[in-house]
Amino acid sequence: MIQSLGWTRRGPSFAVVLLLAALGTPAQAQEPPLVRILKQELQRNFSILKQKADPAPYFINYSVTDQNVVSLSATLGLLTGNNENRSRLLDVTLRVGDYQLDNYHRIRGPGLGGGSGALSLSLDDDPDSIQASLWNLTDRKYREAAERLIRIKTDRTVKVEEEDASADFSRTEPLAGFGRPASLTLPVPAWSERLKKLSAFFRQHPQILTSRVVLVGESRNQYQVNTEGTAEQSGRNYYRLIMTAETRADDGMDLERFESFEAADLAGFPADDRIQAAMATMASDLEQMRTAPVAEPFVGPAILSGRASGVFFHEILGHRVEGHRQKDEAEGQTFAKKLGEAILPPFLSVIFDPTLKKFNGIELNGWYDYDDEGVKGQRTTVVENGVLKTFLMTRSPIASVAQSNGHARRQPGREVVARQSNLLVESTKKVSDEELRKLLIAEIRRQNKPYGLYFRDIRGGFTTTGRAGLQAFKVLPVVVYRVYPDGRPDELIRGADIVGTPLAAFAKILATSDRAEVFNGQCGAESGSVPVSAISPAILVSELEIEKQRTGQDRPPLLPPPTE
Amino acid sequence: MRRALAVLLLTAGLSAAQPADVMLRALTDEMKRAASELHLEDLPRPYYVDFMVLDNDTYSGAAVFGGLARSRRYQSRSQHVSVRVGDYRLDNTNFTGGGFRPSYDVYSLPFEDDYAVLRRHFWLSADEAYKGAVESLARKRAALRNINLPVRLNDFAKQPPVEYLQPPAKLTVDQKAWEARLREFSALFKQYPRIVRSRVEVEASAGTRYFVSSEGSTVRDPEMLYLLQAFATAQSADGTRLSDAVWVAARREDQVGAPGALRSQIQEMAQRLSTLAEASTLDSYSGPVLFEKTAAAQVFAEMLGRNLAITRQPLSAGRGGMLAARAGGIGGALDGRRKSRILPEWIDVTDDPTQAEWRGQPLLGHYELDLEGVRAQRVDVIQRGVLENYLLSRLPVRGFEGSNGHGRLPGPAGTSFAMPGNLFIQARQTVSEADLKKQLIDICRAQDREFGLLIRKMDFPSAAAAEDLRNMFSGQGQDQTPTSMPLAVYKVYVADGHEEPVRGLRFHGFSVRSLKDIIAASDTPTVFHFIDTGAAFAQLEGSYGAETSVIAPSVLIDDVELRGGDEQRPNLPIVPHPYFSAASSN
Repeated sequence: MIQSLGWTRRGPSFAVVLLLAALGTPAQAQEPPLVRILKQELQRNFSILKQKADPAPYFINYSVTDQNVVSLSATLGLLTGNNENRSRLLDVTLRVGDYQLDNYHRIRGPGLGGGSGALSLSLDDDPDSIQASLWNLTDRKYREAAERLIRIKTDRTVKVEEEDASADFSRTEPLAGFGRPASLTLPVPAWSERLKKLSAFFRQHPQILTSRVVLVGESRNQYQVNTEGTAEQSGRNYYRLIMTAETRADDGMDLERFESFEAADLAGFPADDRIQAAMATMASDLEQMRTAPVAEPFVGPAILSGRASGVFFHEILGHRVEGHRQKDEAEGQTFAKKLGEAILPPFLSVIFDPTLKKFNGIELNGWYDYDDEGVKGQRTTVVENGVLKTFLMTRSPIASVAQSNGHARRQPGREVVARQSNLLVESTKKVSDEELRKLLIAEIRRQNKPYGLYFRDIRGGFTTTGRAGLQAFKVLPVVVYRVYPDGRPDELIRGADIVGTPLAAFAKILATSDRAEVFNGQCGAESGSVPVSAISPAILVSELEIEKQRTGQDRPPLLPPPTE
Repeated sequence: MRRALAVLLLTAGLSAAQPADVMLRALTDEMKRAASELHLEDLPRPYYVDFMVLDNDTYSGAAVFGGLARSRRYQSRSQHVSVRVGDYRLDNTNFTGGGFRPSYDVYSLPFEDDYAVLRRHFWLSADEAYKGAVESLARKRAALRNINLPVRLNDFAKQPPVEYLQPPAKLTVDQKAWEARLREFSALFKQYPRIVRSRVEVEASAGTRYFVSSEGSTVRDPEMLYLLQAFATAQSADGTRLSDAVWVAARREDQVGAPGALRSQIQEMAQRLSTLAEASTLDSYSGPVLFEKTAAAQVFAEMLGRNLAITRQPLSAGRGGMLAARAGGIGGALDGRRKSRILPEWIDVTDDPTQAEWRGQPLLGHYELDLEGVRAQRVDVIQRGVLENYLLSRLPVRGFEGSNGHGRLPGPAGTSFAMPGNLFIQARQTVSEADLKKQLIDICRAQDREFGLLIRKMDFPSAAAAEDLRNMFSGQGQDQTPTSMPLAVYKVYVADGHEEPVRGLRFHGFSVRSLKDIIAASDTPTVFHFIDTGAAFAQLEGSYGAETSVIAPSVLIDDVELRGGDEQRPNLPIVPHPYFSAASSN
């Protein structure tokens, strides 16, 4: 699933890829005091458990997520939220058994549910306090691990042999590195004033029922220490300015628009006039959407804008190339046995690149130095010229891929699985936006359809990958137009959802534009919510299905807005 | 320039003519408009509307073993609108088949008092609430065609309006000082190697509740709360975990207690818990038990206090009025027992939230108005051992209609739960604490026992972690309402009166009915404060809680059955505690 508060189209019509990670080489900092404390308690627990525990652990990882989040929100010129939250969350991964079979082996049938939760650590680098907490969680995780290994061994005796006999954990080289710590500097009074001023814009639009401008600033320092010798720290700052506005059509349909700006530091945000221009577009979109006709179920040719296409690929391809799904026998395994086979048209490649921090000047959300197993994030070409090359991998191998490519991710408190980072769709069959539109019109005529569709902006989407559910996806557009072949102006419609099944959808991509767009969002799955991005050019598809959106039936407010 | 001046003048003119409180003005104006103008074609107009705003400023801090784990201050302002259509006899509430409704994003209100924007928020909330109400009422009327109710109770009790205007609450808290205190208090546990887990938390909050209703009530009710909690869990050699807490609540910062006194309280608790962790176990006991001081008040709080309201199930659309779960699942044990004897005839019970203090001690359960804007009233609940009255909210219940100012927690389907405020357990016949212990010994001697039991503290509200609670009650039957477990239990030997701690005992068949078997009470009542969230064991969860004080004497109960716990026990840790093992190897 992906959700986002979107992004305006901007930037030049060609892609300039900035690899900031390669440019700035931060001075190798000294070992932070927290790492020293983690190392010491890790060694103490590991050596005693190895000596005295049965089964003994063969691997322990301590991971601490130290984050400071400030969020400010305003509506109609007034502040509605002002929160700062500093937290340090500890996750302990403890493996008993051996690399071949350990307590993380997937049990078939009803699972064990999610993670057991992170523990809140002292914010002070106080060794006594932190060590006591580390010891507590290690003890709990050890009990759980030992109990689970017994269940797994029983399960293997009772059930038929598994299809994928790969090991549960792979070996990697230990890493040591300490990056520059991230820290948050957010002048709250000044930004409160700015948000108030910005949010007052919607006062001119009384038909917009609710609106909000939110600034979220987050600094996150990740510390990881494991018994193989890895000891690292990396920092990341991320600021996001989000605007939302909602109204309701006369027939009860709720209509919403989101816009967002991302930046690595506060200076990275555009000036007020640019932000206000985006808000003006939101307001005029909503104004038009209120009276726009309601979408009818339709199958026909369509263009998905770059942002819409990014979400489309995230849902349909991205979630199905996550490594652990190829092994889990409850999963649909759409692509598990398709390595080396064509799954997309030959002009398309799909790359996952966690090392990419910016694209076309836009700050990306899906980057990281190390993944949540302490492995360096690696640029991974999953589909090359239409052919499936590999999967997104953690340190849990699958039959066809043995090593991690640095895509183990989680929200603190959950267990890691393979997750997406920055998804990039690259095309060799690209034309200008105008040319793509001409191709759409030609396709409408060829199929003898009354109109085609143009999906300009999108809110998010979701997909089911399990065997128990339908292998299907849904993408939730917010701004959709009918494009007529006879030269009539495009017609805005509302209430359309894109639906489909994955394999069928890919075969219908005909061409792409030459201008990529960025969708920044949060992706939710079994290991929790992680930041991701999807970058894609617009795509032309010969056939896309839309259905009517589920919507409320409440009328707009009965009484007129209050007046003084 | 000239324009700015004009605006200034206009504002000044307004404030002279209008009530100064912008929030109340916006609430009242929009509430009146909603009450008189909201309507949808020929559907009924509201007969009752209330608007409530909760304004909160909170500081929250926590520390573990000397290190600060949390320290943050946050503000919130939320609104709650209630619209009733129909009439007092039959309206849209008390019905669970209302269905899902979309909602506007207007729950969080601006912090600043801007008349126009506040009204806009209230306007949208009232609109939503009204549409929900007419839909619910229609569905409820349809459901009622198929259900035959033996007794038809009204849905809402009429109440005279109140005007109660106090200045808003203001939080003054020295964050740095609390951080230092939290570090210091949490480090006290470094002296107790038996304690495997500990945590100290503080919360200070200033809340102001604004409330206006179409019946004419106007309320601005401030509430301060300072809460200090120190949790500790010890583990016995056999793996059993025991948890206890120091719990201090006050309305003023200077009433929380001096740092020295708090330190001693934490040390005392930690010491007692360490001792109990090493105590011996007991298979079973059936005989007289002395509930001393806090333990007695805790028993009355749990057994009696939570059962003093009559429960009423909301009507459900689904299976012909089958039960809809009552939030929390507490209460109901005294339904239909009016005029029955609940306690010995020499005990009276009164709930009196109007008292701010008792013998110089501030009472946490004191309030002026309940959640429904009704003035708190003194209620003589039990007289000469006989149940005479119930605590009531504005929800009519069998045999009673009309609130006595005890609607304190939000209930299901637009209703409120009635809960006690200051619960006074008064005995007419008393003996001294020392004589009470002597009576215990005398009875035991007469019964030819080696010892009797003395309980000094119950685990209520529970300090145990959810995981440990599950373990604790893994052995109890499903049909039994679980009772909190006794925490500090001592054998009192008949021979010389000396005490020996025992652990791991659980009550068996201990309920409100056991209170009839009280045979003696002491002459020195103890004040016990807690916050009742309505959850099992009153665990602190959720955003609402009813601050409660119980004032009760120690009591001797004739025949109480306890059994040794046979619950699952976690293994002892393989790796020793990092701090204590380093200390012992030095």
